[in-house]
Amino acid sequence: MHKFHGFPDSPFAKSIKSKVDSKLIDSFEYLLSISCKGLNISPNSYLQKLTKTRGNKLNSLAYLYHTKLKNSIKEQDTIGVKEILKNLELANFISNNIVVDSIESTTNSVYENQLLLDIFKYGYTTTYKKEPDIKAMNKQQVNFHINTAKKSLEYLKIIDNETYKEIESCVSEIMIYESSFMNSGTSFNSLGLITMNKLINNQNWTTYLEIIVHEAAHIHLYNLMVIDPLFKNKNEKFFSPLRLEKRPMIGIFHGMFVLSRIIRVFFMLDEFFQSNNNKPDIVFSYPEIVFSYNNSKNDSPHIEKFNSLYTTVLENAILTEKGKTILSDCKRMTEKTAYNTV
Amino acid sequence: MNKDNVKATNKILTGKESLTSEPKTITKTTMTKDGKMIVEVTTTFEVADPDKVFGMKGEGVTMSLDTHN
Repeated sequence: MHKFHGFPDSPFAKSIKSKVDSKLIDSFEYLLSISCKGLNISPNSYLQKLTKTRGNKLNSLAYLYHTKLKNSIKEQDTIGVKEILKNLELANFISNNIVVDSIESTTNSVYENQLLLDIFKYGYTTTYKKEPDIKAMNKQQVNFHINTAKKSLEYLKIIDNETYKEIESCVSEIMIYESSFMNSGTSFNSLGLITMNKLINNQNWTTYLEIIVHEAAHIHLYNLMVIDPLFKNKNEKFFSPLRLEKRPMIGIFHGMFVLSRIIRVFFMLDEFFQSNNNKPDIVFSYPEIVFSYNNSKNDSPHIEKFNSLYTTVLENAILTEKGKTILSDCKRMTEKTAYNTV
Repeated sequence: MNKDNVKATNKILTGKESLTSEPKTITKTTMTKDGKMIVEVTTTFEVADPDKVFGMKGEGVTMSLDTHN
C-alpha cells in the first residue's frame, strides 16, 4: 500500500494508474453488457477481449472507446454502439511505452483517429463554446516535431528521473497537431493522451518539456481524483493568475498542482547545469528556456502564480484529508530546499 | 430490439428533427391541439447506472486546454 502524496513518485503513480485502469475495465464491461443486451447478442467475445487487458497499463484508446460507448448508449445511438463493437475486435488497449506521433497517427485505424478528433472537438466545443482548429501537420514537419518531443523526454529522464517515470506510468500517447491558437491539452475522456501544437516562433525542446510536464500532471491529477475527490467545492468561481476568466475550484487546484511540478523540473534543470557545467560528456548545452503558456497575458514568474493559486486553495477549498496532503506537498515542492523530497 | 428494454419515450417533434440516428419502433403517435406530434418510441439500451460508470469522485472538468500567447 503506497502512501497517498503529491510528490512525483513512480511506484505510487503506477499503483494509482493501475487502480484507475481497473475501474475503467469494470465500467467498460458493464456498458458492454447493456449494449449487448439491447442488441440481443452475446457479450462474451467482447468481455474476453477486455479481460485480457487487465493488469496491463491501458492506453488512451481504451478510454476513448469507453467514452464513445457511454455516449452512444446515453443517446440511444445503435449505430454508434455497433461501430464500437465492430472496431473493438482489432483495437489494442495495452500501452507498452509512450507513443509520440502526429494527430493523424499511422498506428491507429482511420476509425480511431476520427473518434479521437470527434471526442476532442465535442469536449472543446462544449467547454469553450467555439470550434477548435486542429489539423494534421505538414508531412515535412512531422519528424522534426516528433524528434523534438522525444528529445524533451530523454532530457527529462536525465534532469528529473522520478518525474519522467511518473509521466511514463500515466501517459500513453503524445500527439502533435497544428493550430492557430490551441497550445496543448488533455481530456478525462481520453485519459493518458497529451495533444500539443507544433512549435512556433522561437520555441524549442524546453517548450515541449514544459508542456509535457504540465499536461502529464493534469493526467496524474485526474487519476488521483478517480480515487478521491480531494475537495468538495461545487459552484463558486475564483480569480486565477493563469486565465482571464474566473475558474471553479477544480481549475484552481489543477493549476496549483501543475505549476508545482513545472517549478520542480525547471529547478532541477538549473541545478543539473550548476553541478555539471563544463563537463565534456554533458549531452546538451544550457538551453534558452521558452515557455508557451500565457493565456492571462500575465508575465509574473511561475512561483508567484503558484503562490496565488495555493493561497486560493488554502483559504477556500473544502479539502479532504488526501486533498490536504496534496496541497501541502505541492507547496513543499516549490521550496527549493525541499522540492525533491517524497 | 430487446423487449425487456422497451420503454415509452415522449418526444415532441417539430418536423425538422429525427428521432435518433437509427429508426426506432414507434409504438404510438398523438397529435396535440397546437399541431405538434407526440411520438412514443421504444429504446434499445437501458439507462446506465451512474455509480457503475467510470468517472471522477468529485466535481469534474473533462478538458484541460490552453491557448498560447
